[in-house]
Amino acid sequence: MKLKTLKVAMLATVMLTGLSGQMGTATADEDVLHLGLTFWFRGETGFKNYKAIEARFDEVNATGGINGRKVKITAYDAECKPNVGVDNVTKLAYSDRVLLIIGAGCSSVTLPTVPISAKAKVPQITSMSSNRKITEMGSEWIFRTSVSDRFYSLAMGEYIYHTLGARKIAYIYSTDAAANGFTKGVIEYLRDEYGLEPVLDEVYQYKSTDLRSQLIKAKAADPDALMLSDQPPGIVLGVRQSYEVGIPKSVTRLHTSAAAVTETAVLAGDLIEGSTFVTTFSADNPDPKIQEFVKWVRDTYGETADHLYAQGDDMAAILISALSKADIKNTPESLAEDRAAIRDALAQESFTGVSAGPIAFCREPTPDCRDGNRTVMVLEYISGGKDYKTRIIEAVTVPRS
Amino acid sequence: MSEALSGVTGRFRRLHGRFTLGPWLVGIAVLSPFPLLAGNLYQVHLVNVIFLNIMIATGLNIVKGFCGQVTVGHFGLYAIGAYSSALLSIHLGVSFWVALPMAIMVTGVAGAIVAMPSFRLEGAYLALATLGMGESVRIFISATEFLGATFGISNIPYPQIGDFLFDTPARIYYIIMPLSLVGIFLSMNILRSSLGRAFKAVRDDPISAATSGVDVRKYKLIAFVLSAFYAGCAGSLYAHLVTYIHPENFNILIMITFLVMVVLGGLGHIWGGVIGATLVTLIYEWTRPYPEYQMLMFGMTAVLVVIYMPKGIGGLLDRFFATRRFLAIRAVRTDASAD
Repeated sequence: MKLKTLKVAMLATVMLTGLSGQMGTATADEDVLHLGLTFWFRGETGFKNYKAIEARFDEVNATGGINGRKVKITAYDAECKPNVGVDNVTKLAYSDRVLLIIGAGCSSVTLPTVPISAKAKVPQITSMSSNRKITEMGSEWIFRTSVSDRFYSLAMGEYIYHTLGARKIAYIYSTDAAANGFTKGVIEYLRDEYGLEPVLDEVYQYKSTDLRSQLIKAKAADPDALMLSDQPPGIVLGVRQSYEVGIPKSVTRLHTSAAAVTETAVLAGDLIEGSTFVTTFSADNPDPKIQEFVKWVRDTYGETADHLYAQGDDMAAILISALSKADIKNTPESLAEDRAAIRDALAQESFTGVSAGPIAFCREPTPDCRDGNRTVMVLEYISGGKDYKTRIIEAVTVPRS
Repeated sequence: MSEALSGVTGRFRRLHGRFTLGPWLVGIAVLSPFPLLAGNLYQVHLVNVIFLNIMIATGLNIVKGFCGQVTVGHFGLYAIGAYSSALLSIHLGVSFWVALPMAIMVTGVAGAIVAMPSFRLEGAYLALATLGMGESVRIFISATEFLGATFGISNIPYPQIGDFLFDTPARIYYIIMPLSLVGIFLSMNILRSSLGRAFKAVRDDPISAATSGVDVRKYKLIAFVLSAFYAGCAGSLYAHLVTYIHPENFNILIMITFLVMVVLGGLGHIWGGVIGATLVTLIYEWTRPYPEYQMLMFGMTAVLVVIYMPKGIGGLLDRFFATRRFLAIRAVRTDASAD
């Protein structure tokens, strides 16, 4: 019995010792605004977004902070895993006691975290997740600066039907949540609005490396347009193999916003020429503000700016604006009040940054109010490689209903 | 299978004399105030995750540690438990209290299916077969609309008694913690019973075990099914704790984490498994603020522990207690000879 008691005591000691490492909470420094962030850092998306956000806040801190207060960001890797994201957001809300949570990146991670931030009454803002359900959950604490897939699907659907004039479309897409949601959205939109049925509808496992069997079927269907939806490596693979199986260049290759990531153009090289995709930023936009941003990204990170940098930069700018307007007391006792003040300030934000169109929120916890960015650009690659070029085909702003 | 399960029931009756539930009830009582003493809800959430991992590690120890079957497909069983419970609750409106045992039973049946390759395969081949089964479950889920495909299943209801909702980590703690302790209690009794001895015989030498009258197939099947019960229970609890599940929650990486828990704790050593699960969860937690180095630190810790403690923490504990006992006996004998 003594031995058992000793073992139980040892286990309890291990657990308590471990937990003692978690007992420390955020510093109650009134001169520091403490924000939390959870992204997928080992993925390009999270890394670029984070870099852009961090750079903005570093700049603010270097020039005296927001209303005299420096900003500190506690960042945790969500690994694009829902369970890790849930842990991170719970920790940020209750243990780190942050004023606001940025993230997550992957929609599958953001979705389960929305009820957590709602229950903890902490504002949450995402600059990458596109799944429409995120803002449909009715949380008054969630904000989105990235474009919802419902707008992407609508813009692509309109482009296919009216601008491209395609009627026979083959869809090949991966099980990746973003690619899947976007493509199904386009299929549904074209079916509901114009009665267009796909000539091919094929789903493959995310990270598959051979799409030739699906592409041969697509070739046999003789489509006007071929939609290849996946993350950047999958898109590159699909485009490359589509030429290998003999689908002619006259068949327009259509893609998700993942095609806007610089790596897609770099990996695909000239094969990407003619590929058309939806996004919210173009580095080839002659607007001086955008060219200044493009130069900054090139000088700082040595690559062409894409929508990931743009979305991170825009969100940081919106946050800085909201934090400067909110009446934040920043004491441990005023945390709930401060969080509500930031939420209310965010709900009144209307901002035009480097992304296409304005980003504006309103008070009601509805998709109409909380999907801030409603402008989608349809771009076409003119050339690939490191110094790729794009052409803006059209930009669509979906009005509030 | 019914014959096998009736055998198990018979053995459980005899377990009564081995370990009584009393100390465990005291343990539950001692751990009960934790949510009230914790500094914040995150600490309670973390402890809930620890208890879930303990449950899985304990179950995995039965099939791998006690019975010596190399399974790498446990994440599939964990997924089956979670999805069964979620679907029953959402589509059939079944209460958590019914969904939990039903999910455990469904996972038990899946465990029996996973056990079948073990009748013919061993070692790396069995690992490969079970890995394939686990991955098949994940891929099947991610390609099936009804199962939420790659979007996952959200709005899984919280457990409820009357109007009382277990909707916070502090409340659901009172479901997860006792179930986890009961799981350890049952596992300890299994290890000390003739069932546990049969498992060990199968693990150490299946041919010798068979010649001694141990039905190797039957015991392999029982080990897999019992282990699946634990995975199913943990999966169901996880689904109702987080209220959202996604196929990426149940991939090979999480399986590696489970295996590290068991190996770190010591294969076949129940307390080792418990400590392994606790430590792995906490190491993961401590390294959370360093995302760039998290996996490196996590991996290094696991490698160093395996190199310097090949029998895991359980082995280290065994050696410590054995040495203490030896020294005590020697001291008594020395005293006696001096007299």
